Amino acid sequence: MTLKALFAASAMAALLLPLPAKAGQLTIGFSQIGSESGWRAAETSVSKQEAAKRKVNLKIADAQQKQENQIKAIRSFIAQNVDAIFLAPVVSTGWDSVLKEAKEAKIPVVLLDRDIDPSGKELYLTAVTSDSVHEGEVAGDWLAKTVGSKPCNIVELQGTVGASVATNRKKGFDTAIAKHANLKVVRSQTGDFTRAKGKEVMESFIKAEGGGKNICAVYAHNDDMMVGAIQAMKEAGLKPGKDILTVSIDAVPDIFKAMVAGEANATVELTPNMAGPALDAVAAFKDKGTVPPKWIQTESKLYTATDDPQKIYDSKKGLGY
Amino acid sequence: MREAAVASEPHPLQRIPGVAIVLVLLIALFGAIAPGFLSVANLSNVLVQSTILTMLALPMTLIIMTEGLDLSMGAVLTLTSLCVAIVSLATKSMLLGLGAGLLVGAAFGTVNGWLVAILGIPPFVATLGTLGMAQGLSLIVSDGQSVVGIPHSVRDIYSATLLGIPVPIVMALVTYAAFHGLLYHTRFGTYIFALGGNREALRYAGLSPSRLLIAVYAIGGAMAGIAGLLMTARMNSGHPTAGLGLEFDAIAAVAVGGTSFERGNGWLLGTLLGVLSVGVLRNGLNLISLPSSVQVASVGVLVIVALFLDGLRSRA
Amino acid sequence: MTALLPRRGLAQILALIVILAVDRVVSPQFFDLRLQDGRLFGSLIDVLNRGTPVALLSLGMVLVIATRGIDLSVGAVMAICGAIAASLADSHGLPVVLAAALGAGLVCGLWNGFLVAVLGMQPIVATLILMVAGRGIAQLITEGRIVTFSSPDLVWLGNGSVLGLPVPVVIALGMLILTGAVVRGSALGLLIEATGGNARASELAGVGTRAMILSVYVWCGVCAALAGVIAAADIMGADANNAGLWLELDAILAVVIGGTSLFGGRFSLVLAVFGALIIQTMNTGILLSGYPPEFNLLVKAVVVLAVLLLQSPKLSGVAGIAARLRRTKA
Repeated sequence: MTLKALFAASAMAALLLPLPAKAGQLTIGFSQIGSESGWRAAETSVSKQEAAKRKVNLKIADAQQKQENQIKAIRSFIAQNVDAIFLAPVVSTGWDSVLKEAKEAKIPVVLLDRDIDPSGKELYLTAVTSDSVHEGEVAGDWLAKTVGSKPCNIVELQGTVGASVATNRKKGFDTAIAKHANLKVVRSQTGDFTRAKGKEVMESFIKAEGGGKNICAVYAHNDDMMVGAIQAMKEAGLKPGKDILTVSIDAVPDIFKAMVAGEANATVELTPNMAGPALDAVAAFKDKGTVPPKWIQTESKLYTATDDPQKIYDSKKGLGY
Repeated sequence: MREAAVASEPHPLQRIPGVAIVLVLLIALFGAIAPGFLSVANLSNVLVQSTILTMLALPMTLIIMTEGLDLSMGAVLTLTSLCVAIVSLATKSMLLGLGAGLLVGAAFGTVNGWLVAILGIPPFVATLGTLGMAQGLSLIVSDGQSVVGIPHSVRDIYSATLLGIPVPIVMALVTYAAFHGLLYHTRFGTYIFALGGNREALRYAGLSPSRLLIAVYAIGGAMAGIAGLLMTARMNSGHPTAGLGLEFDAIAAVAVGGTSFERGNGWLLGTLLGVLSVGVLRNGLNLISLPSSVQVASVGVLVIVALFLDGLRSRA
Repeated sequence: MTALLPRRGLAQILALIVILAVDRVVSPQFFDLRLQDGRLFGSLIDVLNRGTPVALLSLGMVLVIATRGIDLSVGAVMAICGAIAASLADSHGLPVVLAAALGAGLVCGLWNGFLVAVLGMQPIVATLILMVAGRGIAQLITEGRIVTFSSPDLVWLGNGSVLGLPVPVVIALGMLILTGAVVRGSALGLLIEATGGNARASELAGVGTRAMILSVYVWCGVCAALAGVIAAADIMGADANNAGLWLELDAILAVVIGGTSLFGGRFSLVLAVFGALIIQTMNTGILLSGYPPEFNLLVKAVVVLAVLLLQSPKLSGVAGIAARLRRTKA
């Protein structure tokens, strides 16, 4: 409800009050990828909160998962001469020309959540991101530690084919388990980051691996797919969290709910608060000319059932996940 | 209606159409409420950003006039964009890249035409099948990754200007002129009207409707190839999902522009105005930062408003 | 006529058998079935269960296509109705939830039907509007997040079982029988075919083509609503961004694979559902095969084109002969 009210209010404000921002108030354009996942929705609402806390006028443009739309949005932000641009890039490449335009217009750009390819380092002020390869490693290390020396067949639910997050989370996980000969990924298929596909793919994995008896752990590139996979395991008469270990990434509220029920084992947090550090960096840069480091890395914190999942669930569920 | 369409070209002035009214209203509305909308920089943005859709919507108009449809255009654009990226990366030549894009695009267009004209598979499902093939091939040739490091000669196409006009706009204008000439001033154009309106007449005239149909679809594929070059240049890379869903934008633009899906009755200028309406709407809504759900819905509303206006006028 | 009936559907049955055989090769346990907590468990059941949404969509879609129409909005309608069901599930009883969701589907269908039948818009454009706008509406309802619920009644709709069969499969079967009884048990089916075959002639012959067109779009909306509710019940949540995404294309494909012409006229409900099963058998096979996911789309596209080619009236072969016989008869 509050979100809707906020939407409505901001829409009305934008319609009725196209006045220039008050002197001293920063106007920042944020090209958001879309609202493809609960995490993304939370990032958007946390960004709004963080901006409101600092009295920053944050304009959010939703790109609906298309780089096309993001480039368009950035060009329109430049045309509006905003004070800074936040960009959550949907892909890692192809930003050179539009970021050069921003640089020529002297508008600092801060990357949120995802980095772009190395050729463009001089084109942005800083990147506030999690290291998604590292996230995969944290997940893999946890699994290796938990399993010990027993042999373990892992099935993997990949994110959308072609998404760099999916590639990286796969890479990090593979690196982490490569050190352990007893861990092996036996099946890997895309679940498109969605619950429905996660469930459907897991159903097939279970059938293909002797009714799930040959599976020792599931690794999902995001929690939503894992929530679907947990349902599939339960319906097959398996006990997720006990018969089959689960580890996924994002730390959305529903995975903590599953943890409370003992159906999920671990998740690696991708914090939705990327805008906070970014806003601070921009403010310092504008006020005092402080140049932030090129990369502000957010923590990839591991949560397990020992971390009071109920409390974390309660603190996260209001964020719009 | 059919006979009229075949006998004489439509009279644009007779129908100051819904789409023109919509476009003027949209510009006025966003000019009033969206700060910065009417700036030269922003307007030139809207135009440049509309060029890729123009390249798809113009051939889509021809295809729709034949009572056909090409759902594969967005995916073929993705594939050709990747071909341009990969070939220009390997050969350091923009022209070879463009050639590869054109070739692959035209090949897909020809296959579409062949499935539709020779095998008699309905255009909707035939092109749905090739959509899957083009998208699948895109994922495979790119291995799901972006193709980066393409030569400057490709990227410069998007940022260069000719006599002060951005090159993409020049390309779109040339394309429009070519399509206008083709449709209204050549015999081939007359045949296209007949393909949708009166296929029998073509047969009596000793022409092969199948060959003409294949040609129309091949043109669509080739245009997707040229648009692929622009896409690669704009993104300075090839990406395996770049053109996802663009075919529906193109179809919406054609519909907004007043081209009929059933009577072989097409209007190229309307399509162009339709593309601009979609571009202005998206840009304006971005400027006033409306929530995404409203933006998602907006193109649908645009189609219906334009068609309602047309309906009202034809009734009056 | 009766002598020809077995030929109708031969191509589809052949295609299904071939795909099933391929599935058996890539996944040896494909035909294994066992009882698990009172419900059947196995890949075949997965095919039926996962095929349900598209099968339901194709039930409505086939009628629309028979009137020479098309409905691109069903995926978006699924998202809307799933969102409504999920938002109401924990505060209202199942009857209210179902009534609201199906009612919304009915309204969506009415809107499409109104645009097509009353305003005379071309179906592809008319339904394109709701296709693009509908997902936005669904996102407004869910406020952009996944709305979860725990109401056991609604969850049962997605995950329960009746006589060992998953509830969605039973619902789809029920809808097939109901739709079949209504359109084939009366002259309605013939009237729908007449409308698609030649609307003007049918109108002159006294068929209320407008009412006919309006009602098929309404039915299509209701079927989509049911599919949306089941999709939401399946994952115990409504995902406005992804629910039903691109399923309209699968549904249209299912109808065409089922041998119904996009140019209207004769249709077959059973074969449309068969088409949906063919698509899902292939999807499940791809998931079981263990090939890298980069190949999913290409494999699917090639198989679909092959099935379409098999049916192409221009190609000789069993399907070609069957289709030709059908044509000469018509």
